[in-house]
Parts: sequence; structure tokens; C-alpha cells
Amino acid sequence: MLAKIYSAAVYGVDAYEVEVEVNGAHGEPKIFVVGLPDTAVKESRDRVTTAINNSGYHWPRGRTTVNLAPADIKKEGPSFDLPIALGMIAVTEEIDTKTFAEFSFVGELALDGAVRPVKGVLPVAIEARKRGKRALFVPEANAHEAAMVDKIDIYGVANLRQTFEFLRGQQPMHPTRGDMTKFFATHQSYNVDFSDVKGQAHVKRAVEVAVAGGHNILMIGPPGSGKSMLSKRIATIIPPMSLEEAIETTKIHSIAGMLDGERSFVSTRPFRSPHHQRHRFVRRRRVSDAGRSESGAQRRFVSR
Amino acid sequence: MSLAHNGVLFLDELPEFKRSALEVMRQPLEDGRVTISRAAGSLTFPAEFMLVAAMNPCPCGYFGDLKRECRCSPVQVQRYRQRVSGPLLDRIDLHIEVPAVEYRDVASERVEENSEAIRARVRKAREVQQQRFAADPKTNCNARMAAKQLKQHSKLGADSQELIRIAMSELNLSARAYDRILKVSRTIADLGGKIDISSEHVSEAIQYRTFDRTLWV
Repeated sequence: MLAKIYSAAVYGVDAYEVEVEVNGAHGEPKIFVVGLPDTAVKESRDRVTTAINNSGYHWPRGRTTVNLAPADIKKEGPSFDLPIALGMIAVTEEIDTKTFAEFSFVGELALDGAVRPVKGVLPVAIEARKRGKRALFVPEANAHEAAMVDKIDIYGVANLRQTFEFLRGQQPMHPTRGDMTKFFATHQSYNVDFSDVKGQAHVKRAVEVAVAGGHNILMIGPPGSGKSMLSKRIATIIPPMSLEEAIETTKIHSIAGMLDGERSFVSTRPFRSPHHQRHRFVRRRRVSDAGRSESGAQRRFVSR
Repeated sequence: MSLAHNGVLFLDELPEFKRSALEVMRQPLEDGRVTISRAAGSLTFPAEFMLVAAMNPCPCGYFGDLKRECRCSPVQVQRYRQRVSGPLLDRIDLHIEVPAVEYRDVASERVEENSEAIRARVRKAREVQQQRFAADPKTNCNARMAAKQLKQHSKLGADSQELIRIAMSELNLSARAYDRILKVSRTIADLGGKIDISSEHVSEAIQYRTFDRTLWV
């Protein structure tokens, strides 16, 4: 018995589709995960089986192979838990997974079967739409972030049981709706303004010139003269981002796991202010997992 | 760094940053991308941002201040400034001194110009630039002009030429500083809605090279 479930993973700022194949065969009860999984993916075996048991289902009691295709790209992170679990249940319950082909799933599982939030659902949603999927299932906490993509239904799921019952038509669920264009149009304001800065007319002029030409600027002055205050307000005088720019920026923030329900879309120009002491342990982390992970590399470089 | 894509990256206390941290920023500043190479492969992230840096003039912060005395020795001041590398400074077009705020400014009730008004002017200047670079997808603002474009779009009159010549010899400006001045003059002219760069624009641009002028003594 073979089950095939679709998922997606992030590579760089874009996502690619991953086919999760689960095969149940006779033989010694053992589970193999193949397709260049990292430790977090290999461990999903234990999370998934426990979550399945605790949700009141069974996992295949035989030699089970889980394949993540394409097999030549390194898979990482726990976001394949949900599709793997669904595949296993489908195998034991002998359900035809052909109808699942128009869906895509991402989500980490807790041992009790609850679905935990994952990073980078926005690029995943964009990829799913590109692949012509009808719906994408994401953790409930990520639903608003993913719902910014239109022409695809986004279902925020709370646990494994709910997801499976919905797929079998036993329980209705409503897709989360978000309107990117509308959100973008209404969330354009900043809570700081240039008029907060008193005096310093010639500095303001220099800042204006810098922004107008996209020049970099260096401010030199004694403490408390308003350098930081001015800098924080620079984003407010750059012309607003176009929708494409905003999507691109949001994708990066989505991968870094910096979006939540309230702030599900980056509609204003970001202002990043890394602290200089920060770099010391950024570097330490860089050494510790050098060469290992893609998203690890991203995390290090985005310097919060 | 990528998180500041399309936005502002603000580095406060620039000389306090590790030199290595600052040096890796040179590539993204040049081509608006961060490339990370690891054993697992190499990845490219977009990182087009405006760099805003701030620093004190010396370790104690009051060098050159009119009211408070600076407690640093000349060597300390020099060492502090040397932590910012020349190549990085070269990539920063405008340097500006921010003096301490006067009491009358802080207390004044005068209404300052708000962001919206400034943004309107900036937008106008950017539109001019977009038209100018419509044929070239790589350039979208004056700061990203290549040498050839610079020559084409920033023609100077005789008096401006003379002004920049004097400035260069008096202030010991480098060839690169010359390019920067031209770019910034172009922007100032755009802001003023002028097609030609006049000597006023050039002189304002020269002002924004404080670092080349006074500080490296």
C-alpha cells in the first residue's frame, strides 16, 4: 500500500514542492525516512507515531518507508510531520490518496497530535498556488500569514484528528481568508514621524537628499543629538513599497519566522537595527553549525 | 541583513561593530544581494537596503562639541575612527555632522515638517530618476549609477567644474569622492526639479563629505 501526500519546503527565499511517499510493506516493524532528511526530519518518525497513537489512529505495523522527493535536496525542519502522519494513517486505513493530490500540507506535530507553527508558510503558499493546488493546510497559528496568497484555500488546522476527519468529509472546516491588496492599502502608516524631531534642519536636509537618491548616509555627533531618532524615521519618508517589493520582503520575514497573526504581512519599509554586541554570538553560532543547514544559515545572516 | 530588504539598515555606534561584520557588508552594498556559501550549497537572498550609520566623533562622544569638553586623547580619537575602514566609508555617499540640540529647539513649539511632506518631495525626485534610468533595469536610483551613466547624466557647467577643482585640491578629495559628489549633486538637482546641475548643488554636495575633510587629522 502506497500513499502520496504533497508538501513543500523553503529553499532560499522560494519554496519547492516535496512529494511525501509512504509505503507500507510486510516485514519487521521499522520505519525508514529517506530523501536526504536532516536530524529534525528523521526525528519526525518518533513524533509522528506518538501523535498518531494519541489521536486514536494506527500507524502501519510493518516495514514502512517514507520517501521525500526530490531526493537530491536536503530536507530540514519539522514541517513534514503533518504530511508524513497523514500518509501513514492513509496506509493503515487503506485510503486512496489520489484525492489528496490537490492539497498540500505543512506542519509540525506535538506528541498529543496538535499542530505546531512552522516557518516560511508564505513562500510555501505561493509555490502551492503555482502548482495549481486547490488548498493548503497550515498550522492554525500560520493561517493568516499564508492567507495573504489569493486563489488558493488556506485551512488553519489545530490538530491531526481534525485534519484527517476533514479530509474524509466527517467534519467541515472553513478556509481562512486574507486580502493582501486590502491589507496592504490599509496598513501603510508608521507610528513615528519626522515632525517629532525638533531643530536639526540641515541634518534633515541631508537625510532627505540621501533618501531621494538612495544614498547611504553616516551621521556623526555627540550622544543624545538625535541620530537614532532621525534614523528611525528615515523609513517614513521613503516612498511606499510596491506590492511586489512588499511580497518579497514578507517572504524573507516569513522564512525567518518573524510573522504572527497580527502582523502577517510586511507592508511598511522595514527598519533593522542590529546591535553591535550581537555579532559576537552570531559568529559563535556560525561556527557551531557551519555547513550544516540552509535555514540555519539564513537565521544567522538575517541578524535580528 | 536580508530582513532590511527594501528598507533601512541602521548601524548605531558604527566603530563598535566588529571589523569582520562590517567587511561582509561590502558585497550586499555593491550588488544588493547576500550570498551564503555552505557545504550544503550556496544561497542568495535579496538585500537591497539603505544603509544608515551613526557614530560618535570620539570614544567619549564630545569631540568638537562647543559646550562640553572632550576627554579623549588624540590617539584614542584616531584609533576610534580608524575602526571604520576606508572602503566602507567610500560606499557611504553622505557624511553629516549632527550637533547637540539647542535648548530653544527642544522647547520650541514650532511645528516641524511632517514625513508626508518630505515623502512627497522624495517621491518626485525618485520619479525623475526612474524616468532617467527607464532603459536600464539594473539602476533605479542615482546612488546606483555606473561610471558611464554618471558621465552622461551629470554634466557640469564651467563654474561648477572650477568649484569642484578647488574643493578637490583644498580638501584632498579622492577620485572616488569626486564621483560621490557628482552623484549627490545630481540628486540635489533632482530634488530641486532642475535638469542641469548648478554650482549651488555641487557646493551642497561637497558639504556632505565631512569625513574626508576635517576628521582624519
